[in-house]
Amino acid sequence: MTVKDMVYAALFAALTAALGLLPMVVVPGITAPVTVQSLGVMLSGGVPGAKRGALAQAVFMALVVAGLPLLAGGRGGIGIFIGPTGGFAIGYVLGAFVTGWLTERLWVGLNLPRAALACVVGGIGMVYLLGIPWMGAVARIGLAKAAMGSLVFLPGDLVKAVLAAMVIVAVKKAYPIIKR
Amino acid sequence: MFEIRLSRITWLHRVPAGVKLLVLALAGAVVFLTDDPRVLGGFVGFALALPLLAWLPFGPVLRQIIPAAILIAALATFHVALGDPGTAALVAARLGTVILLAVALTLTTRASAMVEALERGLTPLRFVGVSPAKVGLMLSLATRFIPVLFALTAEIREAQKARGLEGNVFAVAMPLLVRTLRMADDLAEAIAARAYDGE
Amino acid sequence: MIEIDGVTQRFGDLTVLDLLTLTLTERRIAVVGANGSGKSTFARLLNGLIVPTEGEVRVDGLSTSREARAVRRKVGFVFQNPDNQIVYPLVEEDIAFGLKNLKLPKPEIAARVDAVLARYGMEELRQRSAHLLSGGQKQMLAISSVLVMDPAYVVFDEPTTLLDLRNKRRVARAIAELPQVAVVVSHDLEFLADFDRVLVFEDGRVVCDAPPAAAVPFYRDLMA
Repeated sequence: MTVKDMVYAALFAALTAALGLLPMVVVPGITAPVTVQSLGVMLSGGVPGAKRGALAQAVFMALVVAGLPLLAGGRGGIGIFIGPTGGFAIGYVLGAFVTGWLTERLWVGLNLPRAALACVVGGIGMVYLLGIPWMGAVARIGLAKAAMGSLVFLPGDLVKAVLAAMVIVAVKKAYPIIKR
Repeated sequence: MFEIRLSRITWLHRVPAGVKLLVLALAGAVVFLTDDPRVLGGFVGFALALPLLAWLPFGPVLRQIIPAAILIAALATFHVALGDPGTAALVAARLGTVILLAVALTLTTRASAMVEALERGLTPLRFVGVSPAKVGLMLSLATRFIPVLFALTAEIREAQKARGLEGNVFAVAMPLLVRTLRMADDLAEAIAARAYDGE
Repeated sequence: MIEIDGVTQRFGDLTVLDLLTLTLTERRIAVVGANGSGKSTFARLLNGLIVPTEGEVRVDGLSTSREARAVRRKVGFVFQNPDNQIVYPLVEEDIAFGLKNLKLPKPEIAARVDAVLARYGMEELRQRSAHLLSGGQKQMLAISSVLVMDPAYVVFDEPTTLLDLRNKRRVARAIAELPQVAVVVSHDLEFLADFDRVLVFEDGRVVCDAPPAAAVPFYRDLMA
């Protein structure tokens, strides 16, 4: 782990916290308002890369567990994780990693659709993959019910993935970090 | 500012961070591993008594607990509605204990003390290739820059508001990202300049 | 003594410094030049943050290319942006960071932190969060965090550019009182009047190397 790795991890953790300050976005046609914070997951992977992204989310989660009110709405503390939403937290770490990994693979010739793919598979796919079964188990409501409950967030998350992809592509032009 | 701190210093503040973390970890482990109502009852009692014994003020404690309390209430209700009050009680006892103890910890411990205690606690993991010092540095760095990025985000939002781009996430995220990346480059230099070894 | 021996610095196709040879023995050395003249790169060569593409930089005989670690103990570096060089949340911890890296024993660290806080009248800021400090206080914190490591040389890269006038003066005074050798990259010509030597950079070369009385007017003409 180099100094750069640690610095990126720490700053993207802080960035994810800062994104929690932005007000929820109401997208016309989508019922559940969208929190901007989970953009942090996709950006953590898509900008500095897989390893640093995973580290960043791990650092972020560690600080939330420690009680800092970093989640959107000023929430924090261990309650967030031992409850049903705990799986999403672990999913963030994996999600950032996968988003980063795909972005690294697709770096040469990265465009909006490719970046969006990385964000959807990592930031949505991986997160739901871990979050939904955990919820089903801890809340004891079963996989199907948990999945149905999470579906309402999907359209909003897709919008987020596109937004994150736009940023990732634009940052690649302005200040590329992943170099292949 | 963004750190939750109490104005009054209680005896619990003076208990070393490591001890408090350890108690929380052990309590958490025990309540989740046991079904025995007596054991659980004991821990719930302890968790309820601690904020009182430590003279923690009601306001901050309640503010910390309410989001989790709502969650626990919802879960418990769900299980009662399914005709399973036993599980409801179990879930409430487990989650309630851990959350109360965690709140007591958070309100009486500085972030830096927790990071230090964590670094010490992670020392055995050195044999598995984890560097406690690096973990500590990352956590401290993140803690240090959270208020910096909060302020930067607010500043960028203000600037974009003046241009009528207030609700535009991209218009805020882009400059925020670029400034953050510049910060990263500067910081890496500064850390190296202070003879950081990165072993 | 810092020796710059036949140094050329290239970044990709760009030659930033061109066959530079100098020996620095004075106590107060200023480095001026337009943005892009190579002065910041030059500053970073002095403590091994950048290693020369060709040639060598030696600090008291130690090569920055081969003995960077030893060089960093001798040469401190204060950066332009106060915020981006403060690493720890609390003042006290940030000052201690460099000393931890030097692997000093805890009692010694505590003693040195106490001493530097007292030296600059910052004792009451000991437990303060860094982000609650003013710009000037942050820069003084950055300077303290470097000085506490007891370097023989300190390089300052535009230390006052982002500060208001009162804080510029405070930093300038702190630099003037340093027992160490100070190399200061700056645009603030009024503070360089008491320096021993001024290096004027342009396009990667030193175009004037003289005491301030001669170098400052030269630089003014250059910039006109």
